[in-house]
Amino acid sequence: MRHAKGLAVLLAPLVVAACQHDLTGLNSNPNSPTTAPAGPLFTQAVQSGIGRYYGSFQTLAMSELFAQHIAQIQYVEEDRGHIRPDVIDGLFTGSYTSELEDWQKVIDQGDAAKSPNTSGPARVMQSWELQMMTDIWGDIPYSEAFKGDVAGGALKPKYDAQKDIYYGLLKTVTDAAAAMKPGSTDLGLGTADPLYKGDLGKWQKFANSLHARMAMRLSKVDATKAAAELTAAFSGPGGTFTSNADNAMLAWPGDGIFDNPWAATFATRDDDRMSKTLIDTLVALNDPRLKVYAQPTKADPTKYAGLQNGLDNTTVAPFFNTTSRPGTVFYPGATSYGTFGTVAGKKTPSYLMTYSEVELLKAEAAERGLGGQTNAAGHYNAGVRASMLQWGLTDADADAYLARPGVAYVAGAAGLQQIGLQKWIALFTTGFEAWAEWRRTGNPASIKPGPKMYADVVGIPRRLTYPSQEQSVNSAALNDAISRMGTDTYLTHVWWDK
Amino acid sequence: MPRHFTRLASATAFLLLFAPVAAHAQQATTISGRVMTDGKAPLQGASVTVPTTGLGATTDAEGRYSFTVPTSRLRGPSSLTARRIGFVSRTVSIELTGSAITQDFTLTQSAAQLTGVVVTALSQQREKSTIATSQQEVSGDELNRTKTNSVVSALSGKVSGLQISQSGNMGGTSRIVIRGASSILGQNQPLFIVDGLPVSNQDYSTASASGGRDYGSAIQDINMDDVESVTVLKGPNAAALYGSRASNGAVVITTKTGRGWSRGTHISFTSRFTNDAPSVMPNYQNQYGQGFGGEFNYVDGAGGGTNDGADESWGPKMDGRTTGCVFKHDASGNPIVGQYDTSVGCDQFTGKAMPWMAHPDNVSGFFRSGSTVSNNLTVSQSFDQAAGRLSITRDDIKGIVPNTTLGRTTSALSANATVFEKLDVTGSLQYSQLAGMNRPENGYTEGNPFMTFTWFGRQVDVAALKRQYFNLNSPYGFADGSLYNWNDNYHRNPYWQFYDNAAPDTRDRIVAQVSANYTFTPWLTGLVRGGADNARNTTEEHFAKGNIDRASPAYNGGFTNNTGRLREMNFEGLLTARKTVSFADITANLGGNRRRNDSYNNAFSTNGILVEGIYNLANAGVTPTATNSEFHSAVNSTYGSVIATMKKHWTVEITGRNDWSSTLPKDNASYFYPSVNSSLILSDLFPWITSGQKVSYLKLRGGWARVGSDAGPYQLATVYNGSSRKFGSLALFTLADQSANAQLKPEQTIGSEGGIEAALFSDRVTFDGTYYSKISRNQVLALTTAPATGFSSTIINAGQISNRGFEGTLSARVLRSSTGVSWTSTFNYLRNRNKVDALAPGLAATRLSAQWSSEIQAREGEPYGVLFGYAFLRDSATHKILTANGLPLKDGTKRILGNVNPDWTGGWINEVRYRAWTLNALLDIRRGGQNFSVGNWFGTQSGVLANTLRGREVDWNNPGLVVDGIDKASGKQNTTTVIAEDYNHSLFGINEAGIYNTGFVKLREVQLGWEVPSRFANRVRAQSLNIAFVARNLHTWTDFPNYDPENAANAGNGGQGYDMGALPTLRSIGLNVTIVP
Repeated sequence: MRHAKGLAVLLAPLVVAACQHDLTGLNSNPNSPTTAPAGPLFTQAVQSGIGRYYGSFQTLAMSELFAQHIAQIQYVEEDRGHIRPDVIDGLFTGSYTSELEDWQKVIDQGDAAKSPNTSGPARVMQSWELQMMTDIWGDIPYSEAFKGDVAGGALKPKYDAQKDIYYGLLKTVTDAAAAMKPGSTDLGLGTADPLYKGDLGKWQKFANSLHARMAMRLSKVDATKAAAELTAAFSGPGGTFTSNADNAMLAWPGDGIFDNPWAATFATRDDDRMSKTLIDTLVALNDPRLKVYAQPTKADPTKYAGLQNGLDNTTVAPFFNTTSRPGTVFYPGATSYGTFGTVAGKKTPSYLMTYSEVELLKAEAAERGLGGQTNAAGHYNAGVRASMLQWGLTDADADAYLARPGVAYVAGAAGLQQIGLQKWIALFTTGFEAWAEWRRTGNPASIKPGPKMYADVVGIPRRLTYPSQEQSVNSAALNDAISRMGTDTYLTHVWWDK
Repeated sequence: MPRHFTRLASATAFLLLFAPVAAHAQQATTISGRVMTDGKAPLQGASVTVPTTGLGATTDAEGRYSFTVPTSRLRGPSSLTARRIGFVSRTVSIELTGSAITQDFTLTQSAAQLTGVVVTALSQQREKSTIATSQQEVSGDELNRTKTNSVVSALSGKVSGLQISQSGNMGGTSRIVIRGASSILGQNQPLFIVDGLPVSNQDYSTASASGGRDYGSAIQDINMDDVESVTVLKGPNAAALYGSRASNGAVVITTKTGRGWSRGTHISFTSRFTNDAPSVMPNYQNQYGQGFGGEFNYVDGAGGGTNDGADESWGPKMDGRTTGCVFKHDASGNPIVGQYDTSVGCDQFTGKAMPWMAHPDNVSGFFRSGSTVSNNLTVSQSFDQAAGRLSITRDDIKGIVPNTTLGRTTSALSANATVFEKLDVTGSLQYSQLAGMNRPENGYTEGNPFMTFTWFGRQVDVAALKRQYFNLNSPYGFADGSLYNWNDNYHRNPYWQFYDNAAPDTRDRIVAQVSANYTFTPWLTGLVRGGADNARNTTEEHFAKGNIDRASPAYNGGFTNNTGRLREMNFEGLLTARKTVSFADITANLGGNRRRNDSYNNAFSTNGILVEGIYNLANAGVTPTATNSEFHSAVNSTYGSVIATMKKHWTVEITGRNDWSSTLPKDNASYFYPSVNSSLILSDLFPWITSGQKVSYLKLRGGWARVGSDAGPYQLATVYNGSSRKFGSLALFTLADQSANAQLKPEQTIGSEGGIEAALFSDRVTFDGTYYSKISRNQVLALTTAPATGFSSTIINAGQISNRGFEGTLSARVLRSSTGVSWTSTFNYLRNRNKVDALAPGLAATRLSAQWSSEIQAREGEPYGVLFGYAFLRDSATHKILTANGLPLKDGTKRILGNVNPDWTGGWINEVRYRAWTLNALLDIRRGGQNFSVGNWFGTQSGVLANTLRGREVDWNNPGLVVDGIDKASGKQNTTTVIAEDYNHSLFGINEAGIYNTGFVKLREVQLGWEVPSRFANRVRAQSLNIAFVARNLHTWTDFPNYDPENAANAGNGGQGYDMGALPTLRSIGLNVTIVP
């Protein structure tokens, strides 16, 4: 009997183990939910995407170098043509897996809830970024993207031809502008929208303005489509930007966590100077934006000087103190190597698209007789003035500047040159658009490869090479795209860049 | 029952209070005697038992034992067995009549242990000759010859089938893999068992090639002084009963207890001291100083002077000049290359017109002499029916990097008692406390001293930096409080870095267990065992004002603080039946186990604080980031085994186990895994084998096993991650980058092995070899997917890795002379070939880790862990490098550049004994395998390593060098001379230039021990006194340049294949003294 009791005690755990085997409940994740509200998803995606495309590696070591707004004074590999493969991988991977996917979830939620005021802004933001991506690489995954968690969705999304992507994006922004309903009971994202605080009228304007940017990009390669889409853009519901108050921009909190990306970089790095190409232009035109965009040289506080792009370590060294750093508005105050700017620099907004750009698009459209636009000079003047005001200058500054020879508008081919030059100046900090517009228009002509470019990148890049990781995870689709485009080099032209 | 309850209660009180249970005076038989080796030396630690009663004793330093068998257990004819790991056991018949028995034993050392009692799965003791799987035992003495920081590093070279990589980090992790990696993305570490219960080997290291600190792994908390023996169960076969986590093998640790000592109090004291120094140092060049293009002039160390922002050494020749470190300029201000302007002084951070000269010891002088002091006190008390042991060890380590220390206190209490005749209870409690200060960072970060000295000016006088840092009047250098340094662009004064940026860490660990063993009948016993393993680990990093990477310059510093808690609880019941029927001995086990794992993590950090030096949340200037998470999982199991040994020479063993895991979907949560093994002692079956006197023992064994394995928790549903950070006031949420899989299945490992054990020439030579194959499939993989899916990875069941190989131990008693000299030599060997047979449909490769555009991959058809990256562009016909402007080009398509797996690993142990003297030496060998040495790659590009002198022998750029290759444009042999700086800079991006072989031979351990004769020992009032000279890592033979080829940044899979100039393993030389008063 004693043994039986002992046996029972001993067998108890066996029985317990065998019977209570339904442990599944223990596996529900206590840390993270399986659903999330649209607002925080949208906010996260917005700061992530803008932080990425205005971030230090993507602008200061990539697009702003290509656009020759900026030149590198230390660690000059990128300025000589070598972009780190890791950076290219990270840009491509991060874009798709972070903000683009999060916006997709906002779109899905909005569509499911029949709330176009939720899905609309997400569609506009996704289109804004996808356009930049196709401008960077050419053909990219588009129609089969974002289906990794959808049953039967493509795990190896195909690369769409750039023409198809552009056509798709144009339709998306057209439909989004039409679907959004300002003033309706559909409150959409409300205050979780860090761009416009839930003002759907402004989202419509952004959609139409972006529509115009996309349409103009096709002016050389697909003039008919460009003309039709420009007309549609300028007459879209709600219109385009009409003042700087409409600008699509992200005001950074500047709290030490979410700071203006340039200010965050300049706090600890001193690798960048203003490009000689830009400073020479500003000086020649006596442009008042010079003192906003740039600081005087350390060697001579009365002087502004740019740095030649594409120098090597040896040839760049003498210019450290004799060339201009970017303006104080891009600096956070105390930095690792001295004090530049003020704490307010951390809050300097990142501009996605501005009223100035819209006016300059209208000026170009008018000059080319497109999109129902007229009065190129008027739009040109408005565009230049808007840029001045955007950067804190006054109407008087603009008046004086616009009266100067070389700035004062002259029509015709020279006018197109002026429009391009002024857009390039106005797009300072918006490097990807400046680079794309230089590729489309060749304007300004003063952008030339530097003297010490690496032997395998003998010109200004026309695109980036594809991320190396795609060769491992999506090689068939990637190789299709490469064979369509020719070769996968920096100097291959994308479809619209003819 | 009440009577038993009282006994149980008193036993429990004993366990808690370490107080003796009053022993009843009984008429009893005292058994005593002495155990000697066949070399006539006393044998300490041998166990002498009467198996039928479970009573016994362990011999003391003089080989003496004594114990008493109470009247209640006197049963007439019985047997008395003496055994010790490493010796052939002996059994004699005795008569338990009540009168005292004196019995001496002489044990013969087995060259390798082919027979004798060993610990095996379920921590059960079995006769080794009946074991059908591959396992190997090492005694605590063998492991403790030299002081190591964990059982893993102590095992290096001593067991076949293992690959162990040791760390040079103070208290750092050692990585152990048995028979090759079998999981593509999961753990490849074996399961650790202490006294029957699993314990955590949580990897606390955050180190990787890109940074982090090596906080060691949890197995280090098991004090080596408490280890009685270790058994390594090598294959899934041996470990089938331990379940999923043992599919990579198991390391079964048996700790010392008070049981079996002769009655009374036993005390021993061991003191160890070693002096520690780096075993390998880089070979730096001492001819050219800081700068680019042959020029340097210091103004602000941040680019304001001539190349003074450079942290590279392509500057002027260090010939002692005080002027002329920059070139003359022509009329239009352009430099005249090569003509130095001697009217300008050579300005350095130490002052104007300073001599431009080498400081060859500037790196070695930064490191200090390290030391390890370790003291252990063991007290054990033995009574008739109870025993206890208390051990306390204190280790103090002074690291070789300034201001780095590590202290550890471990204590272990174990007790056992016979509550009444049929019930034995045991309990143990291990408590360890560890406190580290400033464990150096690994990888590519300023906190790694070798990273600082990789981007460096070779003329820099580090002693001046030290003097300046310790100048109390101006601790930060200049009068304005700014830091005093050779470069302010990317570096800080290294002394400031290590003194002002404190990184304390603490770990508390408690491992406790109790068990009760009940004898129902002579053939049936039952065991219940419960235990918990609790650890709490806190790591902090303080970043002082001015920290270049980690604190916002607008604030006065920053900090991070992470606390993790881990708990594993096991509750086990086991019934064991042992029965001998006519021709067979049968043992059957039936058991059940419930395991529960819980972990909790809390972390907070900020990169801006207001008041200097107060690293508290309330002092945050920037909104802190906080995270918390918890993970729970459980596995319930039932298992059983039947072992039958027929006619003492044929054993068949069948096991089965079923697990129910919480981490798998309900329909797949239950999985069963069986094993079958058999062994046959051929030399007993066919006695003619031994008749030729050549073969004295021959055993064959073979087996097959299938082991299942579950997944990590929470992989069944894709989640959204929030953040404590708000964008302004707006909340943030993001979809995880990994998509989950609701249909996961358990992983499966199938192992089969065949082995042979033989003793030759009167046991003078023994051989134990195994051929094995291990195939793991259905692996739970985070498959790297095309990012355009919206996810960077997705969880799937796929893939197969196979490992095939041979492991063997050859041991020989080379010499045993009549004068008392004996020499034994043992060689352990592993040759493993692994291959990724399949990943997922259509997937060629998945990334394990990545650095500087290179990857470590699992690639189909290749060994697990190939280096993949950019190679030199080559001509397809001649395979010569193609050049443009005389410089090599990068091939734009990544390719396989190497394989991180060694061809073979081995250990060669030699032991020579002469009377009271013992000499041991261990060579640790690793052949083959490559890594991507970021330390060498960047050390070459930055011009600090000696190999960068090529091309600048005459002056900074003369005579230059000509790359052996073909000019891409002309197709002709390249003849363009380029300067060394341009050539070495051109290697940036070409990973192939950093691939090196990691093979090595290390003189890992040397110990010369002297058992002081008792007439001397007695003078210091010691019963015995042992003094040993010990050394570790005395010498390294390797082709790997500049750094230590052995590098274990962490115990996981991702740290393999990269080094960023990690700290070398330490060359430790010192003394051990053990006193038994």
